[in-house]
Amino acid sequence: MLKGWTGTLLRVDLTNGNIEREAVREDWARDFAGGRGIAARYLSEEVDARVDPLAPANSIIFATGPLTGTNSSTGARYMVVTKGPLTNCMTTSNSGGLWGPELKFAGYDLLILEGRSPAPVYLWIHDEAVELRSAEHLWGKGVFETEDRVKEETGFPDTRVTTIGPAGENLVKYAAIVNDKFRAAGRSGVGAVMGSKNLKAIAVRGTGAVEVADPAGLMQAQWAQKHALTQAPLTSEGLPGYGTLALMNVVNEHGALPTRNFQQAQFEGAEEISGERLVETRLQTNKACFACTIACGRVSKVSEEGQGRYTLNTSPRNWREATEGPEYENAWSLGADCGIDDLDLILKANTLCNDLGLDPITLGATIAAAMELYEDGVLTDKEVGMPLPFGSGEALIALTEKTASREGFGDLLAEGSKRMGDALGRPDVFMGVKGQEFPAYDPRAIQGMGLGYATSNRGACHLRAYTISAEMLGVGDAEGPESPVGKGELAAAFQNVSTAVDATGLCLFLTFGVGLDEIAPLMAAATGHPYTPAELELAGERIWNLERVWNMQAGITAADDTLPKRMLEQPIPAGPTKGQTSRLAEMLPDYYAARGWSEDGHPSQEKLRALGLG
Amino acid sequence: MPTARFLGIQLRKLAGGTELSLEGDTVGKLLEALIAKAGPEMEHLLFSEGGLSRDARILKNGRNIGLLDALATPLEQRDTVTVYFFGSRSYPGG
Repeated sequence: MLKGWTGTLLRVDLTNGNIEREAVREDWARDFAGGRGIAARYLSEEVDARVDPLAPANSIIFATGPLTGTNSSTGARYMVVTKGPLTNCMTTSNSGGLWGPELKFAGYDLLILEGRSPAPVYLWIHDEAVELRSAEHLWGKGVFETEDRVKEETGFPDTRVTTIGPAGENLVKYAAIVNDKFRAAGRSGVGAVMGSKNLKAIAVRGTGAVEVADPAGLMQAQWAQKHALTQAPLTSEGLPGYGTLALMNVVNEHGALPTRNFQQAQFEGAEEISGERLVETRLQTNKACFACTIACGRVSKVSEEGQGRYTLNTSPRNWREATEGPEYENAWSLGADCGIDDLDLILKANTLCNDLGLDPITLGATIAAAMELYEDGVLTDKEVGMPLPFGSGEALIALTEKTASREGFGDLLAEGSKRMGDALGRPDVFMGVKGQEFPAYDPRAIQGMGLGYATSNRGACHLRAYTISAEMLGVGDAEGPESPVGKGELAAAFQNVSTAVDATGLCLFLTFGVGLDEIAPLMAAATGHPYTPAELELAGERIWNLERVWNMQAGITAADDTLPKRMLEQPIPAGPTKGQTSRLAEMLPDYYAARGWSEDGHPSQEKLRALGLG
Repeated sequence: MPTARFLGIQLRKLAGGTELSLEGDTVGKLLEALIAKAGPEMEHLLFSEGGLSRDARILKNGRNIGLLDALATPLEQRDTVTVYFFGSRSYPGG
């Protein structure tokens, strides 16, 4: 087996409690590079693409990469791969923190969880000892309490726990899986899949280490990687200083900050919820995931003025009144998208999302869509149970809790904004792709992002092709954000590289400082396989095509590679990007051509054969 | 006069505020006026090797001047110039 891998996967049949160890297929490990890739390969082999995402026949896979648990900076990531209930696509949802490395230390590359337990359980992995334990007493508990109690029950304070909250138990379509209390595999409803299996948590303690092929070579490559990270201002100063929230003012200045359910592209309250304001008034310190030298995590508390209004019930032993976050995406979805400029309130709502196990992006976007319906008179106080105008923080907090419990109007919110809009006869309020809501960049303002959203395998996502760097920030020689020229090739290239990075077990934020030229030597030294940048990019392309083929078997077609009518036909009303719409129709043929796909978006047999998938 | 806006705490401290009104009929002239007011540390941040620092980002009314006429981009009285730093070195981002 390649080094960097433990060579072992753990397969758990939750229906009958069987737990088995298997050898990881080495050819798949090599060709698919790591976590996201090999998990997609196992899922496509073992699960019928037409499966109901919440049925026992769906599997959920937790997968690490060869660099997870090594000293490579940001080597903390694991990927959750399953069929997502929000999108009915293969979803690949990624998280950092400490849990992923711990799984490697315990001796496993992957967990494949099948079936459905007859009663709530949690999985306890302590090196070779693996058991399912009752979680009846944990069902209904929040993430914070669950993690504390599971740690107590295992007897080891350094046990790492990944868990669902009430949202996952109640099959909220965008429930998250949260590890280390504040790090989440957030998108597409992976937490609901876990909940459908009656699996509350996975606790891991490992006492081993990751064996690598060339320790001296790996150390040398890591020094080069870490040096490069210290030389790039974003990874040495920007992200440590402001976190991802540095983007709030930047994107707003560019006229690309979606506001009030994408009715505007600039928010007058952006400064109030910006990274600068967080640092000046609420930030306690920054925080890193395992082995990370960037440390973009935020430890924050509500301001002095907010102390009487908001209480953060996190973990008194650890942070007292402090919490973590918010990330840029969350501050946008719970803030600008809902017309809210109160950073204390956003901190409160964000903390609730962590504790209840909700994806804040889809939650905020769904509430924003409901706010638009309320202001249009489609929803009234009677249906919602309270006034719901844009800017209502009270409604945001109350509906966050009701969504997790599916109480009252929260039951409809729990379905996401696409299903909600369809149910209320207003499908036009859904701002997303393939059932999943957009993140925090207006695709009318940045053409390549729109194309990236439309073609993303897991529904609208900024992490699949972050063309912001090239289009908006002037890195490289791409055309400007308003131009569709060259964006097909650009989006495909970004998707391939991002997918490859995901597979390695490293964090995408790393690529603000280094590229595949620096990552390939890490992979080669860790695994012993002579990966080159080109081979890694090819692995990314292979994974992308595999996900696409599986999604098409699930029923996705080229007609799903689209954007909402508002993005295609309704111009941005004001600001620097006034008058712009998405020019998707001009970009999509170029994208399919760049991918070697047919005009109707099918990967050609020739392409699949070239990638070893035919 | 055109308005210069600054993102990031360090830049705001150097500039003496979040916004300044500055003379200048081009972006280059406006930055000269900014340096004259804020001092050599601002110049060190904004310029290197005879040109704009590769990490400095300058927008005219929300558009990157790299996509316009760079420092020769003309300014009118009501224009807004945004200054910030974004040091991405590689490609995909996150």
